[in-house]
Amino acid sequence: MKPQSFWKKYTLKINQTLLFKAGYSEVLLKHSPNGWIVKANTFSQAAAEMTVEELNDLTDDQNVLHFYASDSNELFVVPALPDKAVVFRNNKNIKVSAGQSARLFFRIPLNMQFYFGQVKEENRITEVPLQRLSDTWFGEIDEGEPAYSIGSNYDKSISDVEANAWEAIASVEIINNTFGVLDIQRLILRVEEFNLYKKGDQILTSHVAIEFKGQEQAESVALSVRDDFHGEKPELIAKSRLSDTKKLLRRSFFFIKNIYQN
Amino acid sequence: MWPELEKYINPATIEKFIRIVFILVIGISSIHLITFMLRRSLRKQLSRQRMMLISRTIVYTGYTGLVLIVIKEFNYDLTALFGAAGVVGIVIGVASQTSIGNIISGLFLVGEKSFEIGDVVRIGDKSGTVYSIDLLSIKIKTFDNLLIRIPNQSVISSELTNVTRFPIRRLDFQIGVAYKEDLRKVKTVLETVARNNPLCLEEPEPYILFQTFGDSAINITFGVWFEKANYSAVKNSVFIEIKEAFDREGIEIPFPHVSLYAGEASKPFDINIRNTTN
Repeated sequence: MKPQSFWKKYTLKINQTLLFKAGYSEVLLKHSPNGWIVKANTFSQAAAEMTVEELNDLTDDQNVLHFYASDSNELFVVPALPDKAVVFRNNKNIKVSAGQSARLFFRIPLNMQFYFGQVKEENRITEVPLQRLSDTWFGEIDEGEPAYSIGSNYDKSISDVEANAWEAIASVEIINNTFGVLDIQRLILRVEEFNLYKKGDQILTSHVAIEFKGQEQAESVALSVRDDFHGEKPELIAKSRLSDTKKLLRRSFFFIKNIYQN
Repeated sequence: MWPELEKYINPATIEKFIRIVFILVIGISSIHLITFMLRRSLRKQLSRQRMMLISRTIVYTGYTGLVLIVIKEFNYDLTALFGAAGVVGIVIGVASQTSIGNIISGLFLVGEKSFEIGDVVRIGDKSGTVYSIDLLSIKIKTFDNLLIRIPNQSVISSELTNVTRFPIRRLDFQIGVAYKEDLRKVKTVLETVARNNPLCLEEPEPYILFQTFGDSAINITFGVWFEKANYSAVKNSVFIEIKEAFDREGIEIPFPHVSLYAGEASKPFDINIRNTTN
């Protein structure tokens, strides 16, 4: 099933059950007379493609969620980025010389959100990650922030990116605005602030431009839409989790100063 | 009887009484209002501990002032009272050395900021969540919901471990593997256990150290980092996963055992177990 026909509005009759399968997760949803019944499962292998199929029924057991809601029969399935920042761990020695910039592309697994009636916070039935990312820590061990890890994979051009249907592609431009060489060791992307756009079969995040001003200063981070990445008229399919901010001053890089104090 | 009553119940005394009641009502309301307003405005800037300290200071000072004002209304000579208070103070001070020590220790504890209300601490053999930090003692709520009162002097003179001071911690597992095992394989298996557990942080990286050649096993320390809120989940899940992984890979965790030898050149004693039936 093509991604654009997965992320959409569904109309369910009473007692109708649908199975949504994507990534490493599946969600069974039944429209009951007084709301929704939900069951989510995860697997060790990713599904080959994203599918929606109708089932006869959903077995009501202790792992099932009963969501009492209005009698709306409309179900919205919406993609979302993870609920925490993601960290890229550079194992391949990426360096940016003074005054230069580097453009990198990352694949970020999506979450699947289900809403009834309308796409708004209070109408969210459930949210399921399509791939459980590992927890990690960005920063020093006595301060810093929790995040997910997206490993060390990246691509240098959009044409090289082989994203799964359940992954979003993030375009990140790193500008070294110092007189020294920037050695990218750990890069954090605060995806809670990114929007999601649809371009054909691909799901893209906001374009991120990070201006590095030195190890002791916070970086300037700007989110935007770019023609060369999003196309001329990108379709916004999901807004950021946090308020719509265009320009931020943030710590985006972490430099490992010494051997971990084990 | 009535003329004597008139001595005490007359317009002047009634007026004084009303004035004192008025002072008390206004005074008490003001103290609590100031405390409430301060709590609301400083809630986000200050920790619970500091808020409690500030509000108690205001309340105690306020009530002390209120008492002095009321005493003045009764036309008592305050200078005589202060004079007597000096002598009384010395007597009380000598009698309550321990309490004063606790109060002063408490001030030092608050100033040091080595722990706050809500932190999990370990003092000696006692562990729990800091429930309150009071004038004379701190109170800890144990994990089985008991309340322990520890005098501030004891706290300041003891070694205190703040378990939840930092946002992440490392949990160390002491594992023994049999001498026959391939240690590189053991290391790989442990790394895989940490990598596959989503609650174990990818960074800081898991810590594996081959410690000693023990009497019965090779001792290994395996440490995983996690967010402090996930202690139980991480401990239990990693414990189970280590056991399952070792069972799957055929890695033995030996029982303590001793091999008997008669001498350097001889073989071990031959031990046979006989089933005897009576």
